[in-house]
Amino acid sequence: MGVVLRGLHTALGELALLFIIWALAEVAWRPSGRAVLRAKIASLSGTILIFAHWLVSGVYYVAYYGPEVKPAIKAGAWPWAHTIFMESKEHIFLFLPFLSILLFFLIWKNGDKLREERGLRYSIFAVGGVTVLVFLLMVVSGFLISSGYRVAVP
Amino acid sequence: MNRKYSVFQFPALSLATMVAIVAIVVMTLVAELSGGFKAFLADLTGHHWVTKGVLALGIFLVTWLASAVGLKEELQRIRTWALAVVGVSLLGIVAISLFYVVHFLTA
Repeated sequence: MGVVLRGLHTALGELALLFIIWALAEVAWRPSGRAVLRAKIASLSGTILIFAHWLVSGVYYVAYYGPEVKPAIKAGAWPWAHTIFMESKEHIFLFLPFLSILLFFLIWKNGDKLREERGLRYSIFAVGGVTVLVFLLMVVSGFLISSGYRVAVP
Repeated sequence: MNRKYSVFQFPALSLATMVAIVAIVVMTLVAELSGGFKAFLADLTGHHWVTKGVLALGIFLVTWLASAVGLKEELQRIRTWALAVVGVSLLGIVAISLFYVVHFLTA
């Protein structure tokens, strides 16, 4: 069950990131009509996936990571993989649901103005950019944490 | 003046996002510095991380709905709100990351 949850955790997170990047790509070149619709669908999908990711990751973290993985990493050669990267990751991750809701409503509410209003597109890129940055931090941290576990349990 | 009165307005959602992020950072740092607070958070749902998430969601919803009454959407100020959200997010990332680096190095 732990393996399934870990796989779902990774898949949902990466899919959510792809949808957010897709939404930003649609907004980039003065979108209208179908491009705005695609941006709305992509940002809504990204937000739903982030909430699904939160739920799945929470179950994995509480039921499997805490009791099994964390003690192994802390006893291994890379204890900092948990103490610095996992501790930071699990808390910075909590920013994502709120940033994605904000991005979704920004696109959804102002779809008809995106073509003309450069400031709106700039704002979407500002919020979307920091959302992608948080995702990338999650990916790098995830790599270091799983490497820390592999070092501890070859 | 292009003003809209709506619960789905960007200023209220931005403020709610920033307050939720600040709450996450404060809960995280205080819980690490105070074992009693961390135990209190854990007692509420069974795990301190779950409680932080639930509380952050509640704080977001309350701040959003409450501030939507007083704040007004102005197209010209959307960029200012967006940059404020980016600033608070970056500061939150730096605060949490630096805290755990120092915590590890001084343990």
